[in-house]
Amino acid sequence: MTAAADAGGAPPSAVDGDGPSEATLELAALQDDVRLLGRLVADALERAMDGLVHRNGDRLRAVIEADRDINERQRSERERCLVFIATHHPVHRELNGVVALMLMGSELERMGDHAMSCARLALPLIELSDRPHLEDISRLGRYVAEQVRDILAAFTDADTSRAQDIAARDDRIDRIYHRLFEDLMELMREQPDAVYAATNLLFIGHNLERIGDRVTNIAEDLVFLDSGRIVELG
Amino acid sequence: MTGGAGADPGLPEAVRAVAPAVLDLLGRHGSDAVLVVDESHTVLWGNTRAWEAMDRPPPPPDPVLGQPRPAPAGLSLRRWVRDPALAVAVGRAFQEGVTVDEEVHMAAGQRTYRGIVVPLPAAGGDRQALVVLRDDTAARRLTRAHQDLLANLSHDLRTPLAGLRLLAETLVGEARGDREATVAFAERIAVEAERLHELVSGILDLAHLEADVDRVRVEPLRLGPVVERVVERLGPVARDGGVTVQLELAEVSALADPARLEVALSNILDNAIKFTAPGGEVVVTTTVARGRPVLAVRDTGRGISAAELPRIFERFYTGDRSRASRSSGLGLPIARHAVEVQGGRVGASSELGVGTTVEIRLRPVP
Repeated sequence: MTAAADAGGAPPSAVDGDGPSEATLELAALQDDVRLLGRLVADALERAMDGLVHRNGDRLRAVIEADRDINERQRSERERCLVFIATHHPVHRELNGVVALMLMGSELERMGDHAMSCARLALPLIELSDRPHLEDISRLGRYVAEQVRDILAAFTDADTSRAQDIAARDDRIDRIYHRLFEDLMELMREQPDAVYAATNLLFIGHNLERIGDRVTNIAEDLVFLDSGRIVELG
Repeated sequence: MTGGAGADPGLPEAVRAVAPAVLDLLGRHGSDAVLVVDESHTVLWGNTRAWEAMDRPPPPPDPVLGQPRPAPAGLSLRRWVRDPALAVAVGRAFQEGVTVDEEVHMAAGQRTYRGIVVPLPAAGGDRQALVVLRDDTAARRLTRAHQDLLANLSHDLRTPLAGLRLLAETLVGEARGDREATVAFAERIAVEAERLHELVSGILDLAHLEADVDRVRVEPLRLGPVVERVVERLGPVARDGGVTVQLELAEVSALADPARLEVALSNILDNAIKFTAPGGEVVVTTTVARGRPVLAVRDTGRGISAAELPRIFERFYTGDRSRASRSSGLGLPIARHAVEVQGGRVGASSELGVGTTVEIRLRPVP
């Protein structure tokens, strides 16, 4: 059962009586839009990390370029949500549903920005022969990307308990980031010529950690979508 | 099938007569998955390939068309194809009334499909669309392998070729008439040409492996005989290098692709021999660690620093230039690729001044 059916319950304005109402179809389409936005953001993050590790400048530049598309899609999705509210006057669960979609879209767009920043910061690192703690950053990137894909799956399946589990895992990301932070700071103290590489990697780590935070925000949005309650997770 | 073939007034009578047979043929033997969905993305009909791709038994065939009957109620396309790109394409096709062509990812991103959504003429108020899914994975993989190959060849051949040209020009110019210099330069040209040869072979091997991923064939395999074959083949190389190769083989089996495992081991062993000084030793072992079969090659070379270690499996990375003279930088990446496509992993550990161990971790026999 798609999230539309869950959020809608009985479609509010089934004029024909036969087939789903226009409102239900439109709500389902809005969810598709947000899911696609999510997939594009997850792709961007993975490609940015891949470009960093494999020194692929073309890949990184493609991520930077693609951010424009992500922003445009989010803008048009937000507008579509507002039009939906104005046209169909949703209430209760359905209204929660549309609001949650708008909130999620906004989080995803910012996550996209962070992914693009990772790509931007990774570009000058391609030429450097030594990228300290690259393994750690790569692992951090992998965990964050998993979180993003997981939360999108939880949204698709309307699975709030899975969303809560995902939010709980944010701890792991924070721990790895803080350890990385300490390691890079120490490195910079001991090796002044590593400062340029280390600072770029630090900022990449920071952006990754922010993406992780926003995954937790989306998890909260999903709980809101499901229960109408605003709950702080993680 | 709704919106049936007989409805098109432009179709010649003869074609219309055989249309059901043609449909049956395409439906049963076509390689594309074809479905018909309604506005809520419910699957109304699917051809044989679609049901196979969905991993579901097809409904009993339609007695007239020989085609699977309409789908059981409530099957949503969104449930089957999780990639939202397809759902958005279907939405667009319905909303704008246009044919939409979109890239769709399936099997957790492992396979790429081309999704084509065609809005169908409305039959009695209910709007429907035709969805065609064509597996594009192999074609894309080949294209990507091709592009990589071209990029690598043009980039990495440039330097050795420039070096060769410089040597030859010097030979013709300044060194002309100087017999000793001539011989020296000619010898260097020979060495560089040999390096180029190895480089090209390596690039082609890698390209071949990457394009060939669909034909990996794993089977239960005793590791001992594989190791013995590779060690014997590399005997002359070890002797030339003054390096002894020892075997410590436990009776271990793995689920592996024999040809690719040999390529991997061969590259790793060759590398170990190359980077161990004369008088040194290379030991090949088979063991089981944490339930998984492990093939390890341990050398007594001078080791790899912690900074360099993560890079040894990178293409064309030859590390410390002074010992890179005979290396194409492709041996370990080739080994890694050959192992990973059969579901295994490679790893390395090293201690400066002591030696390096490269491990192949394989899948256990179930």
